[in-house]
Amino acid sequence: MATFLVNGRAVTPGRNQKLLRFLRDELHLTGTKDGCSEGACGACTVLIDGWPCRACVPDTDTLAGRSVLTIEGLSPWEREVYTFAYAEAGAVQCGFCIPGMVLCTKALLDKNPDPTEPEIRYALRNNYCRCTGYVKIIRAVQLASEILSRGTLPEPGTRDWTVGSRVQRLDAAEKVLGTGKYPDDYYPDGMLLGSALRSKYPRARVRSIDTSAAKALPGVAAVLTAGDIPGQNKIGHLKHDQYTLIPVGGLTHYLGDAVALVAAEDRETLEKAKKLIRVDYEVLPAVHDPREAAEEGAPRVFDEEADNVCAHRHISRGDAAGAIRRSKHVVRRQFETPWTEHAFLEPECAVAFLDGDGDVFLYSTDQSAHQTLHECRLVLGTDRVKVQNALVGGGFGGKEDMTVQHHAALLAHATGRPVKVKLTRAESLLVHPKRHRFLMDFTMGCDENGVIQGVQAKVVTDTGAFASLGGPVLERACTHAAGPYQYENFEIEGAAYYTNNPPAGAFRGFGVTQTCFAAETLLNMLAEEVGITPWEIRMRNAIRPGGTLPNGQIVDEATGLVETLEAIKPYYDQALAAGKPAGLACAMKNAGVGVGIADTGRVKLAVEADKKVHIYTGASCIGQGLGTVLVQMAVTCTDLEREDFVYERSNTWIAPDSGTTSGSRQTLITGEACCRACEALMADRRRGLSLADLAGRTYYGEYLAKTDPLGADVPNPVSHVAYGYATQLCVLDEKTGRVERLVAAHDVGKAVNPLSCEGQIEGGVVMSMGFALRERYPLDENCRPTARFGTLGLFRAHEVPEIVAIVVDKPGLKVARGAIGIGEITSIPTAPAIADAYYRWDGLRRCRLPLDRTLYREEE
Amino acid sequence: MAVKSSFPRWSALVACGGGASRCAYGCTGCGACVSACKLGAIRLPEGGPARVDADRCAACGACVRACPQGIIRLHDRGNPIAVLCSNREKGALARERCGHSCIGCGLCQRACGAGAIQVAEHRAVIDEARCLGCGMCAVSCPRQVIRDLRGILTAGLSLK
Ligand code: SF4
Ligand code: SF4
Ligand code: FES
Ligand code: FES
Repeated sequence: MATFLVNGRAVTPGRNQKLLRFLRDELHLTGTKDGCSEGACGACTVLIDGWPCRACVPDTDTLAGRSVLTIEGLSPWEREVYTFAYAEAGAVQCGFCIPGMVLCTKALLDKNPDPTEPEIRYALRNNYCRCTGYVKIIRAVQLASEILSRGTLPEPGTRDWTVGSRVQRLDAAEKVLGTGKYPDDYYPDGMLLGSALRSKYPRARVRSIDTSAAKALPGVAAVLTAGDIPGQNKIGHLKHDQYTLIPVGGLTHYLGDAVALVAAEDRETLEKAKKLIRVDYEVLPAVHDPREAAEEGAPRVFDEEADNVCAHRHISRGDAAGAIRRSKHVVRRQFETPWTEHAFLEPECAVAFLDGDGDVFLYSTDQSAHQTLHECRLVLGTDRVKVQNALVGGGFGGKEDMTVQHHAALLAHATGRPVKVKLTRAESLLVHPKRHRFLMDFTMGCDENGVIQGVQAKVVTDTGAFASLGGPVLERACTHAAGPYQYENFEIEGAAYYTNNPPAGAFRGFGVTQTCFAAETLLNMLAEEVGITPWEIRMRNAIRPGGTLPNGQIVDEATGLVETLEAIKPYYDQALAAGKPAGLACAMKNAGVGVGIADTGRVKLAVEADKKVHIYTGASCIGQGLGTVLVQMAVTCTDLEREDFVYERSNTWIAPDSGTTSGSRQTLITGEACCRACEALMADRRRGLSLADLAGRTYYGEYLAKTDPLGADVPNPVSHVAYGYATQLCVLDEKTGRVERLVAAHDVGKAVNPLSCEGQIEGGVVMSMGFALRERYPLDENCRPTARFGTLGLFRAHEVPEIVAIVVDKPGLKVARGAIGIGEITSIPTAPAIADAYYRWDGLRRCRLPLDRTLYREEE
Repeated sequence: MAVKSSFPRWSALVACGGGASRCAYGCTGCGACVSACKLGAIRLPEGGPARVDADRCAACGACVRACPQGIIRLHDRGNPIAVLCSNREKGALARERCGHSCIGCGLCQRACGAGAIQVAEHRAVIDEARCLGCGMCAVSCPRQVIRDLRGILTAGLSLK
């Protein structure tokens, strides 16, 4: 046993353990986050004797006489400085990496009060952030350094909370100081820990499960198998094909399939109990690849299905084949893009317990509390469930499916005690759906002037072990493959196959990231054949207000592709003039679910006894800053001030369902619902009533984004209520081939908070720089992912090039104050822009991601 | 006198944690580095391996060239984690020859979440470009071969 100081107080842990476990589980200093427990992520960074160290590394017994400082131990002045600096710089998104970043900042500034930018990047280089691209975190460090040397806190840049203002995020302080709670930060009394025993084989039949030895182990509160599920076993977004637990006689679909659930008093007992469960498998050959899955006589992934086809789409308008035949220039290539892991910093976690009403209550980190509610109700076979969103430490699409929520609910229901189920980082890498791997065959033709005549394409995707959102992803990939251009002849056929690989589902960009790489690369090739620049060919084909997209939709006044091209132009010309290799790509991305699916935003404003208007909506903030957006809209739509509003995190019993945080939809769809609720409130305000008079009243706003289904029999179907447009530019250093600068111009309609928009752009661009150049998610012959968090290839602070984020305002959209979501499009054109820059560098056209023969990647 | 600080800060590092052992690959205490260093940054403790005072080292590389054993290299001081062993002998032999030799057991390689360690020719080598400086390897090593040069997660350069 060792005695050491934690934030100045002497402590002596009763037993040897990792410092992180002691800080969190015993001292409940939950500002120190657990993102991996394997030394890789940096979220657990604390200072030991002033040096940044990961708390998950040292054993407490080795710390005798040391002084440990956690985020909770900052002085009041430091708290003010770091909160202000990080908030003002816009450095806080999901917030999970932030306490660790702040401690790295402090360690740096304590020794070097006036660091240069390379020194700052260097000091942060061992801590990952998946949201921000580090740009604004670096700015926050500079700002903190300025404030510390001046000795006084400056005024915030603005106090104006109307739409269009760069206000500080409303949740910055709790994320900087570590007081805000993610599910893992809840420690209810008597809490058990739960975990799933997962399949040993990707495809096997479960012959028997013997849980008797595990049940008999002291400290084990419950061991559940499929027969213990009170409700239905199979759940899922659209198709119910995701097993909660694989029953005896059932087939396993991948290594993440759960066979049994255990709840125990502590970690050691939990792990021991899992080892005591005996499962007898009949091992069967697995399906590794979509082409294999498509073969006649291939093993079937699902007993319930006739073949391995999960979804199939065929979209055709005009005569693509004929148009290509008649084209002056035609190019055709095969493309391949890999799986991508979301790598959000916060692993999946849920805490469930029985509340005062006897309902199963869940703290969850997800992209829709109502979706969690719905699926947990199905599994529990009861409506008596409540879900409360805790803070969400990043999602990017990876938290749309049930991973831990239903398991925690089942265990709490069975034991009557609070249960926390948290995935280890290794489990997280295996379990949640990834970005789909795509195999694509694209052909594009244009006339002698570079005007696109037609596109024909075939895509095959690997949707893995269950459908998740594989169907909609395929659909979006197909509907957007045509690109933001005006032409008529387009045909695409797509199929998504089940395999025994980890499932694939939603990922920022939703299939468009993949097809955009193919289509934009071909467009760059055509530009060369025609003898014009990639910029010029885009200008000639760009969709303009009033034009008709290949899907038949006539686009509105807010269409700003040309403006983004113009915004990029000076940077492009400058790079060309300097003789630097430069690549371009454009993209469009829907905001809102669209294609005829009911897509409703709902907001309830409740004037409570504190004389404040509480904003309730069942819409998850996963780090993008939804709360701030809604308050800005509310301030704009009413005569009230920022201080009059309280943003409430999503829940299921007060907040009305406002759909999943997906499809870049919340700003637009929930934003418009919020504006409408404000209208209702203003009707009373105009009668001269004060908030005190209104206490107890609620106002409801609802917005149904109406669209036409795919293939609707109308000449110009409205597939989506709005599209965002973008142009991105990649400039390489001509000597080394290193990415020197990425410029991203995005048409966002009206930017509600330009600071947040820039943050989305920077984060999205850096994420896709990883997709383009380095990120890998390899699987072995047993369909097991071999990567760990630290080997995924995520970019680090010292490796990120200069990112120029340009927010193009182009009002015109009639709803949500003209705001169009920006969450996903930021990640879409990056890879083809980078690929084109490398072509300019060495003359090699690369059709696979990550790009080969760049200095970012060792050859395999 | 400390040398003018440049960035990032590099300094020489003697990759040996034993000294005065029977190991053929470690520091023999010949003193070639001490004579080569114009800044007086290297000392040779009695029986111990040569040690570089990083604050005085200008990373000129004179000692690197002078060392007949070839065990001095320039190391980025920003990363506090380093392998202090240059052994190339099989584990059993290495264990016999020195109390602080790498025996190639691979525990560090397994502990590393960044895939930054390879055991090659019977001793661990860190790929600095991948390393996150977390020290997971250092706390996993049963032989005190990998150290936190700050002396926090493990003993520092000197074991005493
Ligand atoms: S753990 Fe220590 S002894 Fe084992 S291979 Fe690594 S450095 Fe060598
Ligand atoms: S310090 Fe961490 S990242 Fe570096 S080699 Fe050791 S375990 Fe790997
Ligand atoms: S939790 Fe310690 S580094 Fe990830
Ligand atoms: S803000 Fe850094 S990981 Fe989300």
